[in-house]
This record gives sequence, structure tokens and C-alpha cells, in this order.
Amino acid sequence: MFGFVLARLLRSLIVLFATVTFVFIVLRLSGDPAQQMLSDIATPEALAAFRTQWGLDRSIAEQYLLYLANAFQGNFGTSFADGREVFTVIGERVPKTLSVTVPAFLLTMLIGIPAGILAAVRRETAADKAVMAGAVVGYSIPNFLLGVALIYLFAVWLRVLPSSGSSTWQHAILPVATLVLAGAATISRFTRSTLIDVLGQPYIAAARADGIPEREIILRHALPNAAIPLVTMLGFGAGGMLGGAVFVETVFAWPGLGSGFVRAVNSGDLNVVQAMILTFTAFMVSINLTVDILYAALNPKIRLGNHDAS
Amino acid sequence: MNPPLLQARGLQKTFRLRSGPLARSVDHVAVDAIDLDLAPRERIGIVGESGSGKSTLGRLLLGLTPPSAGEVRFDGVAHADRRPGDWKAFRRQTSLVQQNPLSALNPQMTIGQQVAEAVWVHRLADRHGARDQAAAMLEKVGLSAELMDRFPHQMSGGQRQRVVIARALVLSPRLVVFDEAVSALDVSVQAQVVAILRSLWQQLDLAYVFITHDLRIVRHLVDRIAVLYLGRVVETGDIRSVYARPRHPYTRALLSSVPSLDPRVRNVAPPVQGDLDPGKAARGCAFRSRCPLAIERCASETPRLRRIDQGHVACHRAEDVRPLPMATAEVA
Amino acid sequence: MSHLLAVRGLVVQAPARGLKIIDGIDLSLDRGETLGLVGESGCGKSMTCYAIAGALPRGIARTGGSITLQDDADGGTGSPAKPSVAMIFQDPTSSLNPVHTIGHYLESALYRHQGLRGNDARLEAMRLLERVGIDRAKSRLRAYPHQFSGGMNQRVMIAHALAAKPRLLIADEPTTALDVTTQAQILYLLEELRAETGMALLIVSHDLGVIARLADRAAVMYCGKIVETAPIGALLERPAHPYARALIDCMPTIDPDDLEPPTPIAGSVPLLDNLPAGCHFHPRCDRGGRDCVSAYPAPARIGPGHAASCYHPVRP
Repeated sequence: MFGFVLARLLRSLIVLFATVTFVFIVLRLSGDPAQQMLSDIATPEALAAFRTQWGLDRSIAEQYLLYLANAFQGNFGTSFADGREVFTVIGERVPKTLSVTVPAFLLTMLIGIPAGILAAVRRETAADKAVMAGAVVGYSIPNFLLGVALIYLFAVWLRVLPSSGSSTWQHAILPVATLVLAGAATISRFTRSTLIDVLGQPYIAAARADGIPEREIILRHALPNAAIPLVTMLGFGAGGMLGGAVFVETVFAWPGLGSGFVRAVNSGDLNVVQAMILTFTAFMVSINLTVDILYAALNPKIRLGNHDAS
Repeated sequence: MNPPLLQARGLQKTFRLRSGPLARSVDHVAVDAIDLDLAPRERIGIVGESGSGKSTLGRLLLGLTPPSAGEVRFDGVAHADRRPGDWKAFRRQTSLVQQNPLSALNPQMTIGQQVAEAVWVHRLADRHGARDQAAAMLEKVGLSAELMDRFPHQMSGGQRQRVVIARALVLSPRLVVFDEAVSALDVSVQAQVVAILRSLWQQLDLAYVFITHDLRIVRHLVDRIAVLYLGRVVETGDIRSVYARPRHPYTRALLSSVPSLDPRVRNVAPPVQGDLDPGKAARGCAFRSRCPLAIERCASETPRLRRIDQGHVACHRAEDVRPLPMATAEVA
Repeated sequence: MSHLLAVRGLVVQAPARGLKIIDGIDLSLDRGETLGLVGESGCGKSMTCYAIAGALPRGIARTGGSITLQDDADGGTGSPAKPSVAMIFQDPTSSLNPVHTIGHYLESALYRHQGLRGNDARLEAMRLLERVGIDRAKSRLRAYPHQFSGGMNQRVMIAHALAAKPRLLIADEPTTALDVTTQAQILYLLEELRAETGMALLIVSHDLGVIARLADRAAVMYCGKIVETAPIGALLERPAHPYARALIDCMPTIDPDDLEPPTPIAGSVPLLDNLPAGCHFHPRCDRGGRDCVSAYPAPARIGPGHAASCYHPVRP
């Protein structure tokens, strides 16, 4: 198990490194940041001065090595837009994003998993149909439409919640709700189908024949098995939250990584874009790592291999 | 004697097993030093328990997996020398029938389409002609043409396996490997498939390798048999003489494990204990840990196949293996 | 003395579709007796087992008849004494929960059935494993099913069944997925345990050879009905129902003198929603008369403990 974790950790680092390199090269090749920042009317002198100031006049290889050396020390440069440290810019926005995505993810699990279990256990009953109908609704409305619809309903029409900004906790309600509705729909559907599949396995029939109460069959025999594929799905869900954050933060003017990213891309703020992509990648890689480790921890076939334990 | 249709020499397949990403790998020899000759229209049974390497052998013979050592020749041409274009011609002349008929069939296609597909994929007929050929082949396996438009889930297990056989035989292959082709079926359905295979073999220019763990069925389907134990052939010979007088203690154990229909034969102690133990195969006879006749020599010296009567046996003590008692004698 | 197990007129249906999976069967089993249940796939053998074990799958229910389990211990209250019935299955490896260790599996059963926990449970689990022929029991308790062979897992299932101290053990195709040498070992073990504990054994198989090796009596099932019951010797030597005879004739043997290939049974088992009128076997039968299509034949006595539901029984 230790070796397994170590191998996965190593792989995560390689992915991070490859991302840094790939993003760096692609961004340098995709247009002139000086032109973009200073607009078309800038004088050649101003452009040259800008390039010298930001080290853009050196060769790409040189810039890359410099960037790597700085990045290792936690220095990702300064923002072209306002001259602040990129680290500080991102540092401000990460907690904002987490304050929406983490509660959203927890609520997604808290609603999606029990709803899926209920639907699977009460299969073909009104409860199942209600859960699945809700899931179809949450599933089929795109994030941004849902966000706009929620703003219209609660902020414009009912006037009970603020529509944009982040000054109070009430401001978080609509963005979180938007993320949860879509996430919980996916998770509940998946939980249901996985659990139904597990409940059809011979070992469940064997447990029933042994007279084990149905409640215990669900909790101790079926759920631990259903948890194995579910962990993978939750990993996708967590990743989806980050992607969703880009939309939702923009719609609700929430000053997190997502909206910051959109702004930095539009203004050609190279260092910020680059560091943000890295931050997103780091989040995704840690999610994947967690999923891999949990998957192995839950699944004795991976944890132990095929050899006789004795 | 005819030149062999299929010839294997020194065939070996080793799998590298790792229990974890950083664990040391272990080599597992699935098939070890197997020689095999099959003449046109000859039928051979490969018998062994799960883990004996019999399925791997079947895949090696058809070139579906490359050997670690040794070679397979079909019609005199070694698999290793075959170029991509030759493989297509080889595939047209050979076929594989596997155990689970439901997963071998595409649930989205009618059985008529699936049997016809093989014909037009090899451009042997247009779609209309392919359908006619498929219908004729299905007829031969006892499925009327009315069933052509059914989907696999609408058929019984026995009917599905007949569809699989029809698809395997529709191109009139010269060699078919049946890998546990009837094992998942009820005894009554097995009897149907046996009857069909026997009649098809009469009509076709077909040689086949029948891989199975079921000693009762294989007997009615093959001329020769090879008994596999942990990747090695321990006994081979004419089917009737092996069954009448097994010379390897493992063959004898297999035969006497088969439950008889004689109600007086009851409560018979199992002839061998334990499971296959791949860990012990390194030196000496792999069967010795379970063998009632094992002596010191069996641990030190790996027995080679040697000729006894009409067949070949890899056992130091082949001469001491007692004949199988008649069922009635065993009661006492 | 009453039977250990008495099944009377058992009907099992999938109410949603109204199909009768089991259509009024009678069975009885005495203490220490072995009854074999034989027939092709889809004839209702497994459902009979599940019904007796009180574990019918969801969507399938007993809609008629009675199942009476009467043990000496409970003084004949007649209520199904579930703890005294245990069951083992066809595919042992997939019948064991892949996320639980063998030890957990056995110890939780010992707690449930005998109230044992902690060290007592562990010691008893080890003793059970050793009893079913698994050595190095202590370390094996920590193993998971996927680390064992099919034969070993079937031994684990048997040990688990023994934890319930069953008066009746139901074995549903216990060796069908196993190799022939392992099959011989498991059948021998079952017979040993039956003799040792005095439990009754209900063994189900489509393979008459397996039934012949263990059963005292056998019942032949077809399309949810029992078509013949007989002492095993009488059934094998003097089958009265054409279906029973056909099952015997389609059995391959290894007898070197028996050169004829097995005789297949014509056609296939009809689907439940398309059962032939009258005797369900008549379209596949070579003895049918006009009466066969009129009404289902009642069981008729053939000999001592031997009855068959056929208008034209095979005469020896």
C-alpha cells in the first residue's frame, strides 16, 4: 500500500511538471502579451520597454528556466495588470473559491448519496421516481442557465437573496445551490445504478439467504462495494465543481479563481493565467490522487493483489 | 501420413505477474515445452483443470498471443513468419469458440447478421449471399431460418452456443479451437451440442482442438487427448486407450473423480487432495505434492514424456499406476 | 414422527407478471436424509431452494402452499425455523462479499447464529475452516475471497453454513463451477459433514452424476413442477417419467465400453409464459398420447416411495 501511494504521488508530480511546461510554451506561442496589454496604439519604444521589464525579450528557453527557478521558490512573478505578486492575487482568490466549492461538494454528497440509496432501495416506488425526476431536472439544465434562473427567481422576483458579490454568507447561497443541484443529480443517479447493480450480486443473495436483515445488507454488505465505483464518480464530481466554479463565479460576480481566471485571460495577464492554470491543475491532481488512494483502500483486490495472504 | 495441418514445437508462455506497482515481479509459466501435431480432420482434446494453461495453449495455437519460446506452424508456415496480409488468410481458415455464448454475441445485432458478418467481412459474398450462407449454416446447427432475425437475449443458452458455433464454422475453417465451448451448458444441452459437432465434423473438412475440463463430454468428440497439468502435457494418447487404461496418476485421478451414474458408487473418497499449486512447479514433477505414488525421484528429476503402449506419459511411476476399477468393484 | 421439512403445494410467482415459477410442488425431507433435486436450467430448482430458505429475490413471492420446518428442538411449533437452514451456492467466489475478509464473514455469522464474539468467535472460525479442510486457518482468516480458488471459497461457504448449526443444508449446484477433482472433494466433504452432524441435505444439480453420488432420494423438476420422485437407485435404474429417462440418457459417461454419444433431449425447456397445455413435457416427449395435452397428469404411484406424473410412464 505504501509503495502504491508513493508511485501515485510521483505520477502526480510528473503531471504537474508537464502542465507547467506545456502551459508555458503554449502561452508564449499564442500572441504577444506586450501588444495585448498595451493595446494597438502603443509606441514601439513602449512595447520594447514593457518586454524588457517583464523579461519577454529573452529566448523562450531562457524565460522557461527562469520561470521554473522562480516557481520552485514560490515566486510566480507579478501581475501585468496591477503589478501585485501573482502569489498574493491567487492567495486572495483560492479561499473564495473554496468557500463555494467545498460546501457545494459536501452538500452534493450529503444529498446525492442518500437520495441515490433511497431510490435504489425503494426501487420502482414513488420515492425512487421522485428522486429520479429531480435528478433529470438537475442533470439537464446547464450550470449557467440554472444560475441565471436562480438569480431571477430569488434575487429579482422574490428579492430574498443577493444576486452578486461576496460580502455576506447569504451571497454564497445561490452559487452553492447552483453547483449542488447539478452535482447531486449526477451523484444520486450514479449511486442508484451502482447500488442496484451491487444488490443483484450473488453475495447479496447469499446474505439474504443467511437471514441477515435487509438494513444490514444495505449498510454492511452492499454499500462498501458500491463505494468503490462511487469514489471515482465523486472525484469527477469534485473536478466538475472546479469547472463549474468558472461559470458560477462569473454569473454571480464571485471574486474567486474562476472569475479571476476569465478576467486574466481577457486582459492577457500572462503570469496570472499561467499560475491559475497551475493552481487548477494542482487541485485536480490532488483530487485524482485522493480518488486513487481511496479506491485502493476500499478495494482489497487492488490493495492486496491476488496472492494468498498466508 | 499426411503432413500436419498444425504443428507446435517447444511452445512456452510465461506471464510476468506483479502484485503491486513496486512489488517484485514473478514469472508464471502458463505453458511449458509443449509439442503438438494435428493432421487435417484430426480432433484432439486438451484436458486440464483451471490454471492448467489450456486456454493459453489454445490462444497460442491461433496466434492470438505470442509465445515466449517455441513456434507454431499452420500449413507449414510459422506464425512468426506471417505478414499482416497472411494473417487475414489464416484467420479465415481458423476459428475460436469460447465459453460464454452470451458475451460472445453482440446484443445489438440479430443472429442472422452476426453469422453473415463473418462472410462479407472476408468478401466471400455480397450481403444477400452472406445471408443465404448464414441461413444454411444455422440450419446445419439445428436452428431454423425463422430464428435469423432474433436477438441473442431472445434465445436459450443452448441456442446461443449453436449460433456461436455457426458463426465459427460459416467460413468452413480448417481448424477450430473450442475453449470450454460446452462447459457452461446444462448436461441436456451439452448432449445437443455434442450431436451437432459430431455431425458437422462428418460434413466438413475440419480439424479441431477441444479444450475442456469435462472428461465426460470430450470423449465423444475427439480422437486423441492430451492431459495438461500446470502447463505441461503429462499424458497423451488415443482417447479410448487413455480412458481404458490411464497411465499417469493425474489422468487416473481425473477419471475417477467423474461422478458415475451408478447409485452403488457412493461416498467415494476424493482421489486427490488440494488444488493446483503453481508455486511448486520449478523442479521435479509438478503433480508430486498431490500424487499418491510420489517418490524421491519425482522431486529431483522432472519426468519427460516417454512412450508406453500406444501413448506418451510423463511419469516415473507410470508402470505402477493401477487400472481404473470397474464401478462395481469400487463399491466394495 | 413428522418430517424435518415438509413442503406442500408450494407456489412461487413473480406477481408483476403473474408467472408461476413454481407450481404446486410437494417435497419432504427427514432428519439426516439427502434429497437430490434435478432438472434443466429454468425449471425452478433454485427458486425452490430460495423459497425454503426464506430468501426469495425481490419481486418474487410465495403465493401458495406451506413450508414447514419442524425440528426436535422447537417442539413442533410449525413456524419456519430459519436459523436451522443454511445454504451454499453455485459460484462460491461471487457469493462471497469481495470487501469482507474470510474471518469477518465467518465471525459475523458465528455472532449472529451462536452469539460468539471476539476471541471465541475467532477460535471457532478457525476450527470451522480446519473442519472443511483449509489449513493455516489463522492466517487465512485475514484473506479475501479473491485470493482463494473457487474450491477454497466453496469450503469457506460450507464453513459459514456450519456456523448456523443447520438442521438442513441446501446446496444449490455446489460444484457446477468447480473442476472435477475439486468437485469430488467438495461432494465428499458434504457427505462427511452430513453424517457427522445429522443434518439433512437438499442438493440441487442439473448433473445427475452429482445427485447419484450423494442423494438417498431424488425429485425431478420440470417447468416448476415435480414430475417424479423416487429412491435414487429406483430413479436411475427404473425411471418412470419420460423426462427422467431422457435426463439419464443425455448423461455422458466415461465408461470405456459405452461408446454411444449421449442422446440429446429434443427441443428446449419452454418459457414460463408459453407453457404447453396439459403435461408441459409432451412436445419433447416420444411417448405422448392424446390425453397428454388435455390436463396435467396427477402423480401416480410407481413403487415404494416412487411416484411420477405421467399418463404413459416408462415400464422397465
